[in-house]
Amino acid sequence: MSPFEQLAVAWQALLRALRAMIRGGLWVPFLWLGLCEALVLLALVGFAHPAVSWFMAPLLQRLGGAAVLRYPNVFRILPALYARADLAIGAVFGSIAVGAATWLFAEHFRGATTPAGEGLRRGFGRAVALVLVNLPFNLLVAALAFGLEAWVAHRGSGGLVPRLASAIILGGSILLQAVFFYVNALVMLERRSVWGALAGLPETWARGFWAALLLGIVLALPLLPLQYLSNRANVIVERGTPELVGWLVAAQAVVSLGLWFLLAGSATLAYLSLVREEDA
Amino acid sequence: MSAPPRSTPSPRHRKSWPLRFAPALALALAVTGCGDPALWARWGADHDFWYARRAVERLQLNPRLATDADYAAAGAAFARIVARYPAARWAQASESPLAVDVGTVSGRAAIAVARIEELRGHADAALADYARAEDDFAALVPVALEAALARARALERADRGPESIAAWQRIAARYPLVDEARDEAILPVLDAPLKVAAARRAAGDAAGADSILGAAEVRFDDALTRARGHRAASDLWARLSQIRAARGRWDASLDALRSGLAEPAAAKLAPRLVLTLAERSVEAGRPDSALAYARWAESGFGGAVRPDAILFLAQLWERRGQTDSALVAYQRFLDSYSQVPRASAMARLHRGILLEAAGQWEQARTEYRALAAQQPTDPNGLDALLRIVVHHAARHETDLARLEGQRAIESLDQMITNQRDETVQFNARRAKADVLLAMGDGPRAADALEEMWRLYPNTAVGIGAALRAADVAERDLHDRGRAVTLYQQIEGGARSADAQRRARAALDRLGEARR
Repeated sequence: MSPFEQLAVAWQALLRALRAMIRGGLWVPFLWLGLCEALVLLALVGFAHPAVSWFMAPLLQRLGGAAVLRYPNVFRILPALYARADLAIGAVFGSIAVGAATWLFAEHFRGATTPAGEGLRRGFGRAVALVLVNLPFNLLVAALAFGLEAWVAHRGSGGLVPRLASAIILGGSILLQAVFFYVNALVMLERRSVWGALAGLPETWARGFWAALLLGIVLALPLLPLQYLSNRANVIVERGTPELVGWLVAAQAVVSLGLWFLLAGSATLAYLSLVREEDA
Repeated sequence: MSAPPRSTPSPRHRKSWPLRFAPALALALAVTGCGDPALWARWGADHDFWYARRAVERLQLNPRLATDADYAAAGAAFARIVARYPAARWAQASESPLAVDVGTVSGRAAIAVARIEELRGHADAALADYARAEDDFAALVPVALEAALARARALERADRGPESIAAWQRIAARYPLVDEARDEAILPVLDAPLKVAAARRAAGDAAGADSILGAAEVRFDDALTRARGHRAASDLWARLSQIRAARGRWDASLDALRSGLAEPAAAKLAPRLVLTLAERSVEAGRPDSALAYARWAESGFGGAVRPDAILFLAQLWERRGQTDSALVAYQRFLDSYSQVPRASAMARLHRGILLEAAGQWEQARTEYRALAAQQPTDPNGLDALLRIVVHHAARHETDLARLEGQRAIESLDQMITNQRDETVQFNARRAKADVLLAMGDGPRAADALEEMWRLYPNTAVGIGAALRAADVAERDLHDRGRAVTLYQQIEGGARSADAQRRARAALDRLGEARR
């Protein structure tokens, strides 16, 4: 398919995924993921409570120093702390949730009515394969983000360099996402092994890379304003209310869940239409 | 007999799901209690303190708009912290570091309650609160010291001299000179005996002052035997030098400074110590040593105290009458530090004064005008305006004095109208009155001085302005009635025993005493 046809299919896939948002059953894997994220966020914000402080306080002290344990310092670095935690949650639970959702979406787009529990069962059945097959993508994104941030911090650059580094991280992440866009479909719908799915990726690029790239770009946009705000957590703490940073991160997590949903839905439909050429 | 199939367990072996999860639940509940409750308490105390402090910061943004109820609400927020984390539970030195942190926050809240009472004008209640905070948090020495210092300063602000001196004396005797845990000298405690001695000396009790300084010297010597080689030692030596200087023991004072300089941890304090050596050498009557030390301070230490050293050199030469050297030093300061506002204004003013004294009026006037144009709101800039008028008036160049004075009055009136800063307004009004007096415009000068008395009745400058206004009315305007009214106002309303005494004497002289 030509790039223009791919873009048209991607757009349609996105619209149909948007329409599918009213189907409660399709949300089940993401609610499970959301629960994990909510627990992590609560543990970070309420780290001092005796219920969690026995493991959260030493962990935070290790990550940010003893000063982090004094109010309101944890809110100054909350977006960065949550981003790190979210990377791990996404790599493990996110991979399984997207895998389960991919199967549920495929059934939904084929017109079948399948209980959400069945999707979860299949997702957990292939949990190891899903985590491993997404691992290269997650590692590359982490290496790109932390590597560039560490380089900028080491150089002590200001002005244009950090902005350029942020743009490279965003662009690189979108590109990597496009490269691994159909990997969950290969595992869940084709029942391929880890190596089989990774080996099958070049075939998906030929048929659906441009669609993947467009979807990656469109779905990255809604997070940018929230990311802009969370980069200014220190200002919010100093001039506003520290707890506002917690709500900001929570909003970011909710929006991210919606984007995970749209990404999984549109990736499944684009895979069925472009790679499998099914009439979904 | 065969075992029952796995798919159909017997009812005896079948457990309902709550029972199956019971051990995990018990474990989870046991584990959740493992966290330190003191960490949670500290978080809560920090949280409450943060919001209480924010409330005060909001009040301080525009204190004029803040009502007494606002201050009361802010005080109540701090009082709630003290009540929630009572000293009896949290202010024990034997507690864990986390609990000590909670006690420290609670203690600071108790001090804040007192400070807010003071801001509300309830001086006695505030002093009682400070004293209570010091007693309640006595086990946490830094908090107790903070409360004691706050009380001593509050007494100073309330003009309760003897009680304030007693408070400082108590601080000097009761609190340690060095914070052993942080290896730092506690500077307010080091300064306390000097403060007490200065006050005693001012009250005419030279023997008492010397006795206090003598006791302090012994205590400092004792502390130094333990602190030598540590970070706190340099500060101890510096203050010991001050104590010896205050007793007139100049050689011993200089020795103490040199010992401080020789301390291994003196690197940070060394530039300041060398400059102090220069200053103390002048007091000890050794100007040549002073010059040597000041040159060292200027050229050594990577410029850490260079601006202060250059100014010191300039002032030293100025005092010794070496005008050329002083002018060069002031110019050197201006070449390097023209961006330092107050000091550069002072340097330029002194160049003007030196040039004027040397008979180079044109150059002096250039300096004065440049200063008045560059830093018009600085007190030195205002002084420069005045000096131009005074110069012409002193030479009976009446027209020139009036012309320059009128120009100065216009710019001062503009400043009073446009500037919102209270200090600038205050200084500009004072300068205006001075310029009018220098111009010989008695009626307007008296009006300006009376206005200052009306606007700033409870300040030293306001009271001084009223006394001057009365004097101008009596001597220049020969308006006895106006002078008597002003003296009576001062006698009845000025918060200064000295001013009241002077007003009473003037009224006696005018035959108006207590009709």
